[in-house]
Amino acid sequence: MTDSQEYRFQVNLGGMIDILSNHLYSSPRVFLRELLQNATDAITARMDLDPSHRGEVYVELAGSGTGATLLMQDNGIGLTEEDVHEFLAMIGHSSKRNGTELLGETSFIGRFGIGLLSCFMVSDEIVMLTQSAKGGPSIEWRGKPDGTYSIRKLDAALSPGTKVYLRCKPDTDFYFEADTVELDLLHYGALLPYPIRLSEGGRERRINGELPDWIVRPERAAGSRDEVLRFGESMLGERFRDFIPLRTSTGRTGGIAYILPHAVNLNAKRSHKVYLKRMLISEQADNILPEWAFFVKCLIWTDELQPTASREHFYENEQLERVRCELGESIRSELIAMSETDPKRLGRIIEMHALSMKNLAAEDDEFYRLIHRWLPFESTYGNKTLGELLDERRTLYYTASLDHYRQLRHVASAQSMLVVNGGYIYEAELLEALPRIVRGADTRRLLPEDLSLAFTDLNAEERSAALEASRAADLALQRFRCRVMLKRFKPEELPALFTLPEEAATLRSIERAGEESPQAFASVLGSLGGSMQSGAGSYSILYLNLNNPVVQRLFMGRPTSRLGTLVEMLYANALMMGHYPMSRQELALLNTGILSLIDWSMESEKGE
Amino acid sequence: MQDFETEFEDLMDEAYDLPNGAAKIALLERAAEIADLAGDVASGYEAREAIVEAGSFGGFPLKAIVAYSWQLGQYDRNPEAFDARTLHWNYKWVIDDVPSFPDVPAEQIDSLLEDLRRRYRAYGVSDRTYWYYRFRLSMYMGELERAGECLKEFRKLKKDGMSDCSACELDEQVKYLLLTRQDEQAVKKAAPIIQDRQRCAHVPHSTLPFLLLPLHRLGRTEEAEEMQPKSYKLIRDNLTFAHEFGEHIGYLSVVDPQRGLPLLDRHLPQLESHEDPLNRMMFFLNAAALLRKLDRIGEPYVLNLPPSSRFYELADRHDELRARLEEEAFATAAALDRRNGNDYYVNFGQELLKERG
Repeated sequence: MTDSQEYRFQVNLGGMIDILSNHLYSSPRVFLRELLQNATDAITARMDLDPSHRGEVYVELAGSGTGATLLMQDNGIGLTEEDVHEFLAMIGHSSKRNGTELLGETSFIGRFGIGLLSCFMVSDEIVMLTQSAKGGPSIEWRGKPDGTYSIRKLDAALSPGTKVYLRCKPDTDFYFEADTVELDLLHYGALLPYPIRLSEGGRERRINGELPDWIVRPERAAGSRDEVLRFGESMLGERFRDFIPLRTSTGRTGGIAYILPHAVNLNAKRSHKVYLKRMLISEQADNILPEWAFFVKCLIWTDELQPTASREHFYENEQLERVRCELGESIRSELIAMSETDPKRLGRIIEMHALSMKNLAAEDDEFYRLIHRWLPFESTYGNKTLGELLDERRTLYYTASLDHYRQLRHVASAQSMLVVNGGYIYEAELLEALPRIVRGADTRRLLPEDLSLAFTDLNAEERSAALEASRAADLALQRFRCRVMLKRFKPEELPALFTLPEEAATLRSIERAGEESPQAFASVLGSLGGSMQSGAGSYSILYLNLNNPVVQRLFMGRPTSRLGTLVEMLYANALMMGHYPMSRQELALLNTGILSLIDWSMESEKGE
Repeated sequence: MQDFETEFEDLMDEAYDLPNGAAKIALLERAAEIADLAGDVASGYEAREAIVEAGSFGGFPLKAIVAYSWQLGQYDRNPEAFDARTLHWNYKWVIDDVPSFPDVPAEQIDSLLEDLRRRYRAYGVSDRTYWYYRFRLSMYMGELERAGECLKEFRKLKKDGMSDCSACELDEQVKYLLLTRQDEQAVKKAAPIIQDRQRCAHVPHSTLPFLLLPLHRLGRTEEAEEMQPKSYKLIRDNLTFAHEFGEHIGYLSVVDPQRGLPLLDRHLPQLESHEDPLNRMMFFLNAAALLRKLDRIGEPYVLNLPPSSRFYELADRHDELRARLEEEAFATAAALDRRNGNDYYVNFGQELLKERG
């Protein structure tokens, strides 16, 4: 390999800046974050050398409109001439360090340069004056977006630290307005442990207050409740009433999860504020907490996660997975503790955020076991908590769809069955899992045929009186593979109830699809359906209610030759009432039936 | 009409948020029903397209087949009205499940494959996918030799727009090596999947469970132990993985039977009426193996089955429960063998019980 030579990539700085501003960063305003980040990194580096050093960041705005300038000054470690050359080289020379510079995990110097480049989004010239704490001359660096720069050694020695001057570029004056700068500095730097001061128009103010102790040690937050809630309001813009401290086992990630004071949609964008090494990295971090945690809005700090190149999100890696699990665990264990020490508080939270609680419970048996009694459900006994429903000590029937619930609820409550609406997200799943959680709990998916178990049989006398008519009725619906059952049930206004056992429902759908399918599939459907037809379960059932006066007259009154047609009409009517889609044959019934009815009514008029 | 549209949209929206499974399908079927009632073919088609996906990936293959047949019928009548790509793509999901049903004769499966071939050619793609699915279906039907031949044909052709993703293709080839008892080569081939370099919606979910026992057999017990909880977490909530649940139970039966019991408690009630007979059989076989093993080593245990389970009465009568599970599993195995014209599954079941029970 003796003849191997090292080459350097030629980088077009203009193109690079375009990539940064148009593709990497979400908005030019991040230049301020990048500058603040550079200042912070420099101060940290200096404090590594001298732990007693007290960091400070000073920002000054001068001029207005397109004449505006911005100065950012720190008393950090500063750069030597060699450092300056190194970062410039590194920007254009990614092979030197495996190309990781743009990908976040990088040296102070490398990051510094990239951060500085972002300033070209708002300024056509960058002037940097710097003095390294390690000695050497003070340096002035002037850079232009076309990639040209000059370096000059200054005669006078500055105090250690770095100053960066920017001059407003056309159409970016917005980013130099005092209000914007102040807001952004607070936004990005609220958790920095040293003062940021802003001077403008001769006024100077401090941007960030003293850091409260419970930010770093969230487990102490409970002792400063009001302060924590106030802080949350100022940082997140909502008036919270409750919160949960967060902390991972390493102690390198922590924060406060504020309970949202209003219900949120399942698809609502999660927007937690996350600080990486005390600097805001994202206001929209949606991947730092488990999906189910959408009832909280968090302030989180961490120093153990790796930011993406844009430094606006985190890499989805094992580290993040662990942090996410542990933060979720903080929330979960607090809720569990509440179930013992303060069930009322838990009740309030669950009531407000039932949906996400149910989601969490559906994913996690242990959590479900602990909070199941507080989960609210709609039932034929009213809106109740699952605890109250269990205390009824009855079979809990549940429906898998809202529509099913609406359809069956009246008949079911007339039979005083306890039916729970499982039609909303996760509910059916939870009810199905309940016996696993609570031993002896009896939950069943309500099938229409279950209802019939509560119907009353006819007595012997009624049975023999209706025998002939029943047989004729049964015969009439034979071709629809439907059996007729004569029973007494409530409510009496309901003449007929059509029920479809699951197997019959499948068969029905197979047959309807078969009518529409191409040949290769039609024969497969035929084979699948054929094997089902043999079972008794393949019949649907039409329950006719002898409590209903019309049905009473039809079966107990004078025999009529029209019985067949009338039963067919009751059948078609029951299908429609139950919102069952009808086959062509069944639609035809309705047609001929109505014509017959018209015909008969005209005949009887003639007879009068 | 306004009412119908609102209701339809609401149902579809609500279904959209749900994971593939029973609740989602109930909503989608309702949506398809009201679309039919309103005579709105486009909406009925849309709802069924969603049923096909939820059924194929959520453990309801029969519902997927039925919905797909209907869709295909509508498409043939009016090809301009629907998205051909999605329809052709989904054919693969549907055909993949058909051999699970012993009532469908082998000739009908053949003519489905030929239908797929014809339609794919007309759509402008090669026979690659045809050979690939013939390979898969041959495996399911216990025809390993034929599967091997199809695999060769498949490898000759270039990937195209209807090809499965490379993770899925790799997964199936790993399965083939496993079925032909080449543990070591299978584990080697699966390396990109194990290391998470190849993944998709179905991989590694459906790969890892089948590697547990092979790893164990190869003496790589630590890897198997580490993989088991990870793999289980991926699939736990999706009933399409009935066979995979069985593999976990079978593995645990070999290494630590007590740990298999919670899985049995959880999944038996869910799978006892699972639509897919082949997968149900695989689950039952492994469940029976676990009960056998516990019985054999004489460890006391309790089963916690809910009252709604059809095996509830047998929860304390372990012997009878085991016998029932075996009886049902072997009935399916025999029916599949009759249809396939071999004795693959009955032998398979007996060997499984011997190894894991």
